[in-house]
Amino acid sequence: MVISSALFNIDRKENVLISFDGSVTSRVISDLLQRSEIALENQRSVVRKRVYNVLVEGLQNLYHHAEERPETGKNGEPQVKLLLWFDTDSIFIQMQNVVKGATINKISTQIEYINSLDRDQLKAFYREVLNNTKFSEKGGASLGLIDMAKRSGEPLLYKFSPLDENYSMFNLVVQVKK
Amino acid sequence: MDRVIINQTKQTPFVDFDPATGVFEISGRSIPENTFDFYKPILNWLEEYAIKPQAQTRLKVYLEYFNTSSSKFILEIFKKLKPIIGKADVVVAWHYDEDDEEMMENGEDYQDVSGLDFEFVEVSEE
Repeated sequence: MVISSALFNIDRKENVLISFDGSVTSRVISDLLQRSEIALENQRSVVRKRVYNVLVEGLQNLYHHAEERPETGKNGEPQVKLLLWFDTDSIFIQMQNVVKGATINKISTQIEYINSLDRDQLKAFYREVLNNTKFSEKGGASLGLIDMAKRSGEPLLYKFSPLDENYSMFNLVVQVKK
Repeated sequence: MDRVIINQTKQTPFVDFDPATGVFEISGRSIPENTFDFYKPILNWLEEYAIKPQAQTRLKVYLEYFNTSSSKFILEIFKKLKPIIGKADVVVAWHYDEDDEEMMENGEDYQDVSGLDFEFVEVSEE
């Protein structure tokens, strides 16, 4: 699959619905959700719900993976750059945050695995992880990532850009078709 | 046992469990960061209720959306109701909006994994 690197441009200005750069707190998540509700008013309800789910899941995932990211916020809150943008047939939810270099392998393995599954396999995987019936050999797969992939229906797009020998920028783009 | 009524917030659902009638409801949104704090007391309550349930227990679930942390606790709610089977009737009325196939599928997942009786109720958009 050919992915244009322009897709990952978090500083894009065109077709942007929401742009955010800062600490993620409970309040911020509520505010972003509210803003996206307004921005997506004219979309079908099923599309809006998918975007909300991805947004919430993506932002809250940052809390749950504290060991994978450095503490840089004033009170150790996760820092993120978020962009909600669109093209003719999709809405894109993009998040960029710093992760420890050591976790790149784990994250990319999970995403590659999730992307390799067809819709039915993804549903089955979701159920397994939900019920913990099978501890995935992929190493405790994140239900959040699986959920985002399910909502999206498209491959999760991602990119790692090293910052220094310990940290990398992790850029994730989730596509939701209108 | 006391009735549990919790008002809806931007991040947590409306909860109303009436032990006198066996009519339970969870509706709205569930996206709290600290799902444990919200759901643990509810799970404890259900555990106690399941010891001496009403002849009929009907749990209405109508969620707009929920995060994955909540989805695990929602499964736990269903698991807490399981001991009722054999003693009394228990059914989950899983509500979803008419074009929300994903929410319907979530219900199917829960039905499958929990082993409880589910009724699926499609809600028309006004």
